[in-house]
Amino acid sequence: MRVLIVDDAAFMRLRLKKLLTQDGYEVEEAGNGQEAVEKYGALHPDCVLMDITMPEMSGIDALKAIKAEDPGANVIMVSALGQQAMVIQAIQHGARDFIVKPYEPERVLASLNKVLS
Amino acid sequence: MTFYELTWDSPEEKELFVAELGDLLQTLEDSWLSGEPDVAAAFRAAHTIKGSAAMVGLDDWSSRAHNLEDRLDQIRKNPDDQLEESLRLDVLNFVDFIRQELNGRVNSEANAESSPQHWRITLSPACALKGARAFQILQRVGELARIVSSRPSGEDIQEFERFDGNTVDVSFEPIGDQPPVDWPEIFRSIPEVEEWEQIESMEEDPKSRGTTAAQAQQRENMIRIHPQVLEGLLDGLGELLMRHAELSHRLNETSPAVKEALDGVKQIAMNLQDMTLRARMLPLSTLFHQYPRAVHDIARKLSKDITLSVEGGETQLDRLVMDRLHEPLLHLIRNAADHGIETASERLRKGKPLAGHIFLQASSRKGRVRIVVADDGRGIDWNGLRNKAVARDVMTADQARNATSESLVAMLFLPGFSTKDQVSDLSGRGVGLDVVKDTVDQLHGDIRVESEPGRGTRFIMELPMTMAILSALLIAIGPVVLGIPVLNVERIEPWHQDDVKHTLGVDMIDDHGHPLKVTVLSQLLKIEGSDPQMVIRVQDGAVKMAFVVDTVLGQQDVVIKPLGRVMPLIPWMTGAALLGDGRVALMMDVKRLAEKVGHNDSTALPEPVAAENTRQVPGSSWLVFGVGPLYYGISVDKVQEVLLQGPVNRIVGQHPLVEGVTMIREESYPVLSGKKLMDAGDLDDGGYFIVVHMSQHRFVLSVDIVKEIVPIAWSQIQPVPHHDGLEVIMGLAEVGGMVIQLVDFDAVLSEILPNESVAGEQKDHLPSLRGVQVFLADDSRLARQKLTTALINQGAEVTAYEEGQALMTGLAQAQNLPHVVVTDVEMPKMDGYHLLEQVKAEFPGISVIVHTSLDGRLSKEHCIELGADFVLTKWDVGELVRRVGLASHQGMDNKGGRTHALIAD
Repeated sequence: MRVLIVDDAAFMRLRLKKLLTQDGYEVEEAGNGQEAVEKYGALHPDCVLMDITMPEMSGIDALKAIKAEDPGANVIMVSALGQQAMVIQAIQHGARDFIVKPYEPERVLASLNKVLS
Repeated sequence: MTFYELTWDSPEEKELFVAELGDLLQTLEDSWLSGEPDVAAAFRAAHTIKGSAAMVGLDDWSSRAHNLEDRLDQIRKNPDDQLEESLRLDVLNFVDFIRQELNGRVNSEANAESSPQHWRITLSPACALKGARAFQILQRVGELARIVSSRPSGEDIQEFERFDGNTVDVSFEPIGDQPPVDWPEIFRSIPEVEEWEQIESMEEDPKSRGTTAAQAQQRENMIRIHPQVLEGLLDGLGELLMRHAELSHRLNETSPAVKEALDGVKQIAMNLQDMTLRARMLPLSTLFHQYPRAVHDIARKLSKDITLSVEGGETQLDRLVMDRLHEPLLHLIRNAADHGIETASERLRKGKPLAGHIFLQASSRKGRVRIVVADDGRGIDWNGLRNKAVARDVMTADQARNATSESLVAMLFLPGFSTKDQVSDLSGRGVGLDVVKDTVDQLHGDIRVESEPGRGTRFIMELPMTMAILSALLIAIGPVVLGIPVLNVERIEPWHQDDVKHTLGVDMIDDHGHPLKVTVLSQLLKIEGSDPQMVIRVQDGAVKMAFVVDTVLGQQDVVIKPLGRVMPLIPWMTGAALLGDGRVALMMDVKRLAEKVGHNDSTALPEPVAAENTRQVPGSSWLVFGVGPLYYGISVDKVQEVLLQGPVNRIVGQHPLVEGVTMIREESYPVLSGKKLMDAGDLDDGGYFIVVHMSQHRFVLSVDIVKEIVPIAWSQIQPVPHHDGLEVIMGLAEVGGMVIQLVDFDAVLSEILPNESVAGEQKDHLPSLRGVQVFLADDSRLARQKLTTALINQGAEVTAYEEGQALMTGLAQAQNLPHVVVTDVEMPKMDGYHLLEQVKAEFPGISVIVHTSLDGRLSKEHCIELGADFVLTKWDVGELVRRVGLASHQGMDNKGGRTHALIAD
């Protein structure tokens, strides 16, 4: 299973990558929305874990672009507390699930399991 | 998309759509069933259906209506063509088609009632974004079934954003012939869902009523009423209530049974009135639903990516108000899209989301509806506005530079004033913000603007929920009750006769440094038995005035009825309102009353001081008076009132300038002889008293004549060379070919007062000012001398200047900057306000103390606003020394801060 991690913070990517690799996932990374859209098109990962707030192209915009290209894309949004409105918007645009920072590692894995099963 | 699948902003919106559609179909049908088909009417109906259907997303309906419209148009344009039988069939088939679709909806709803499932899903208490989770659950359910109702309700996204409960209730029915769904499995697959259970039914949820069978029934029975009918009902009810008041007044002393019956009648009438008013209410969504499309079109035209979010569509508003709001709102939205939101590349550069966002929000509180149109665009370009103001001759360059954001915003609402240079295709077609403002004014509303550069602009409208009901401040004058629209009330405060400056028959009070005309209403209206206690400042647009009344009874929502039929017309009364206790209050129209009162004053006062001049052009207003053959001026700020001369009791042993004392309203005032002061010889006694109030002293100056009030800019004032002796004249100004000598009453006061110098205080109680450097500006030599001596006595180093400009030059050339600047307010060339402003702008580390003889709280506030560290009353030298001590510490700290700031840079 291949997961694309999208976050502008390299530290967050590193932590997620470690967690997911340990659990047997193959991990790709993107540092911004634009890159995420490009990589999605090139690699067609099974799932995308994407931060909702990123400079330039926001997570929502990237989600829209990915969904436009592949309506069946599995995208899980990573948000912070207090971003309820944005999360709702993301679900409206087809996000499959969301994870709220700070999160337990199990939450991420459980969400991936549910989305990918 | 079929009608069956549409989502609506509100149940009302749907009802309205269906009701209107029903009418249009009827028109179509009727137009064809009569002998001579009314093609034009049919064409219009088809056209309207096309538009409405497209608006809600019924593309199939819209294209069918479009085809029909085309064919009808052909016939309409060529009346000679034979009407084809096929066209008649098409029209009727179209009508049947739409009716079937509509009925299908109603029927399916009725069927749906038989077999919906109700589920209650419980979220984990640890769930972080409950609203989003609830939304996700309903989204998932919605993929597999048709949701009948839910809590939180699916009709309003905002409800999810606010949701913080632990349970989500949902009723749904299967879609067509889908295989049965394993619902527990679905709920289990959603994170943070803890439990789920099937329940008997959801209790009645007011939010989802719109889709029950009872509602469908109700919709069938809905009828449409012409607004004029409602208007007539309301008028009749208002009159009924007034007649009732009259009747109960006349029957005051009759039996309790009659009174009770009358009260019953009143209660019923008031309930009816309430219902009628409510019948005129519509949810704002009926207005708002057209804007998403409008924004979409505008955005495309401008090649911008713009989203619109709408909130509060359920807010109720009088349809008469709403009808008039459409254009203004559309204008504000266009404005936001066109002027506010930047181009994509500009937004990218600024690190903003590419899509601009416009936010339309309504809410209501206490009978007022607030509508906000906000954007996340570039905000108002203040400097652009300033330049424009100068280019348009609305302001001088100086005024523009100093203009506050409020006065600049006010300009946006001036006719023909637009911030964008190019007139674009969309907005700025002559319909400007002034029209928006006008409409809002007419609706007794209010509009204001908030803007943050780079962050966006918010236009905030506040409107009364209905035009028939007004929120009024009720006031009493003797036995009479009057109402003033609360909107117009600016401030209410206790009334003090002392605050009044009585100038040539016109009473003025101070209003942010401007004279404000004050009217005692009991005198104007000739009401007996009044005891004036309160003063109310009112404003309506640019008109501003103050009324003196007895008491304020409170605020009440009143129903306004025209006066015409009940009593003779009084031009400045807008109508009468019946109060809860049966009394009738007359409602005042502030603008018209001001016209009436203002009419009087144009004969009494020579051109009141132009309001802007006192603030914008540095200067002040002077009262011109004559003593002997010459004219003199005294600052209006120091004048309390002007009276005809009264008797003077001579008292021996006074200062030679003091003639004696006079009694004004049972208080004694020392009288200064203008003649002695001006050395004008011993001519006949003058005719006027000018009552002067300054530095917490009051005295009377006797003069020959009082001429007028003139504005004089500080730059117009020429200093005069001083000879030995008392400096009475601070400067000269030429006004209209007449030379006016401006009297320095500070010097006069210090001369006649018992000695108040610092010597009277224990020197030890004052702080040491060793090492403190002070720059001092005062045009009075006496003041300079006294202050310098007092400061030097405490060890300070003092450099004194005659006016502000000299001090600024001194600062520019100084080797060491002083710690403290002490300045007078009234000085020639550059006054204290401007000195203060310039010092604070160019040398922010220097503390500035203003000492002034102006007692007006407002001039003090103005100084504080401009950044003065302390504002002191003149001649309190001890206090000045103490404050210089304090300020010097502050000044040193500030300098420290400044150094740090420089290093940090």
